[in-house]
Amino acid sequence: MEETGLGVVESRFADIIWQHEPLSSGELVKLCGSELGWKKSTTYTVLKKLCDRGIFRNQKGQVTALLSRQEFYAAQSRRFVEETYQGSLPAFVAAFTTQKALSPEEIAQIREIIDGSNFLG
Amino acid sequence: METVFLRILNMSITAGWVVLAVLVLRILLRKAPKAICCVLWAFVGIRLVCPFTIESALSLIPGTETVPEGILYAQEPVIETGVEAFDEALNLRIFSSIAPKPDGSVNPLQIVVYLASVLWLLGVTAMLLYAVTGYIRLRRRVRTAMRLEKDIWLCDEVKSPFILGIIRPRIYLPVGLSEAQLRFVVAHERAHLHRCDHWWKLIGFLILAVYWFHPFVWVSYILLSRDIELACDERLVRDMEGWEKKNYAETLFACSMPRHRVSACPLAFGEVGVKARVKAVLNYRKPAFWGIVMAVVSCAGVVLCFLTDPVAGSGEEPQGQRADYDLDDWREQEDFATGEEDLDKKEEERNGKEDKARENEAIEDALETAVSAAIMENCGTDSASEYFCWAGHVIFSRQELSGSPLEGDAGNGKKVTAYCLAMYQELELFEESIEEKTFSYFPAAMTFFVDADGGYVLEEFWRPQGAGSMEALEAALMEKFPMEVAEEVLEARRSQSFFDHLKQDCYGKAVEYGGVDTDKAVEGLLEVIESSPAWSSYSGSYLAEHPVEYHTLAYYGDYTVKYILAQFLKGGQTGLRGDLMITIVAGLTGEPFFGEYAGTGQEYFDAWMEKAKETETLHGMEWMKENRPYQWMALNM
Repeated sequence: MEETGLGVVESRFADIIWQHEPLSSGELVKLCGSELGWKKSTTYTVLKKLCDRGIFRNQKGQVTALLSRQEFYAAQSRRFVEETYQGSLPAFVAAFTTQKALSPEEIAQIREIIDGSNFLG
Repeated sequence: METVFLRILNMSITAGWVVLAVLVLRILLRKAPKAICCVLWAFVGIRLVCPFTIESALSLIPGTETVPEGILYAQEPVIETGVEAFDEALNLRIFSSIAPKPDGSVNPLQIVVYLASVLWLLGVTAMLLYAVTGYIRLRRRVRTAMRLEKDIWLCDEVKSPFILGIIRPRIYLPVGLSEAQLRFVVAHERAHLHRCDHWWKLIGFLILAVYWFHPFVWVSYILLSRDIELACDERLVRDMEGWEKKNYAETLFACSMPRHRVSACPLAFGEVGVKARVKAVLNYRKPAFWGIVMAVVSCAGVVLCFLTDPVAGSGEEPQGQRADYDLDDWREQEDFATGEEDLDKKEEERNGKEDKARENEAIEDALETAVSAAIMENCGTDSASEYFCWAGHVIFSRQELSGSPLEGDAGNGKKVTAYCLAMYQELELFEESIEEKTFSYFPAAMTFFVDADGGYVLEEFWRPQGAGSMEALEAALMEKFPMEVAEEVLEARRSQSFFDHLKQDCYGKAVEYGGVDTDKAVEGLLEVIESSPAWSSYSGSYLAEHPVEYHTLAYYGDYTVKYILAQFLKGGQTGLRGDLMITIVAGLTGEPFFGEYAGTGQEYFDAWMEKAKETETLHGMEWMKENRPYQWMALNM
């Protein structure tokens, strides 16, 4: 089974790359050293793990993102809806509304999203 | 390896008593600060780690050398727990199953002990491997942790907070703790670091690894882990308000997760007994002053009674004339002698003798002299004047009777009866040997008048009449002696140790008196022993064939030891003679001559001598004289 999501620590690491990409792996090691307290080997291990998952790419010492932060989290959300609500977006939204009524601003925002989206077909 | 194993075994049995004491105290001290419990466990640890302890008369440890280190070479292996009932049952089993057979070539006990020590080492290795792999696995898991503060790291892969590392320990936290929880958790872990708990737990685990076979040590380790957590909670909760305590308890609960393994190093936040800890936190009250006082006093009690060994019979001895021989030296040698012996009673005898020694101190010398004279007078044969005569005794009880002075009696009417075990011996002394002429060994009751000058005048000399059976002797003694004294004397009479002490003293005096050439005497005895049975290669068979010579060597005591050491120092003792001598000298001195592998007498001796030299460079000659008298003797030759 493919691993889903990022741990808290992993997402901090991913954020560093998204903030600074493209950057050299040497720079990444330095950044991780100061921000996460990581050693060089740790940085490379985690980088390789995320590269294997298709989020980043490390080519010739140059680290780039294959998925942007937005794309990544959008994919995460899609997967979440698929796994938890059998792919039913309405069921997902309903899960929120049964617990707590939506505020007028929230309803407006959601309507805007729905209106702005392209329907295929 | 076997020696180390036996040592560990003995220490574990001794420490078992301490663990029991601490368990009881823990129940009594429920209300006292938990830090006290940690101190108590430290005592257990000291007892398990430290091979040497101070002797104290208050010691409650029944026996410190349950399995004598010389057991491998004993004719009749015995163990003494210090608890009589155990000993009898245990020794009966050992004796019937694994006592060495005189003509067998390998001592079955040696095999058993060898296998046991191999098993033990395997266990220790397994325990250490478990800890090391556990540590490495955890290290790998927290490799991708992220630094939050100086020594606090956040880790995706762990479920509960813990401390890892010994030199530079780090606190690892799981993700998903709220701000408030984080504060408590960090405070708790910091308190651990402050108390150096990560060290204590590591030390605890190392001890557990060595004593893995001992259920009490497991109990101790598990309870130690619990007490560490409780003490740590206590330290935090001490200064908390009620609502804070409640939140803290909730955090504890939130971080708890089932754990069944005995984890080696990491100190985890919700590790042990969460229910107990939550309760303790919520119910915490500052301990009352008297509670602390009681706790400290009981700690001191444990130190006095369980951290010390019982005093080994040293110093005062009831016998005035016995100066050259130290009971201690003879303690481990009893297995040397064959025949009926009752080692279990050794400790008792020694303690009993000591008490008596103290009681009698003031008038001891005069009475001792009077008793010796009385034995001489009553046992001497017609030929006494031709031979070297010697009387020895041990007084077991002394009873005073004072009445009104009789008419014409110069004294103050005081009478003293001494109940003792007496030995009388006439020896013919030759230049190169000693021949026994007359010998008797019997219980006696002597009643003396005390005259005006405090001198003792013999009134009655009683000894059981006729050769008689053991039953007849018992009956006679029961009639004449006070009940407990009779039992004590009978017990001592059965014990080989008393007999040997007296014999040795006698031979020592005889050699001094007659200028016997002990080297020649010992050599003569060895020659007789090695003369038969020629078919065997096992030295035990030769000794079994010549019990009289074997015992006589024991009576020569240090003279025998000196001669044998000198022979080995000359070297080349690789044959039967070497085997015989090493067996004899090991029995006489209780020194651990025998090594891990079978070898010749000379090889065993050389290894021992090598060790002696090493120890000497380490501690110096003075220390050797005090602590390794036989090695010291050999080094000086």
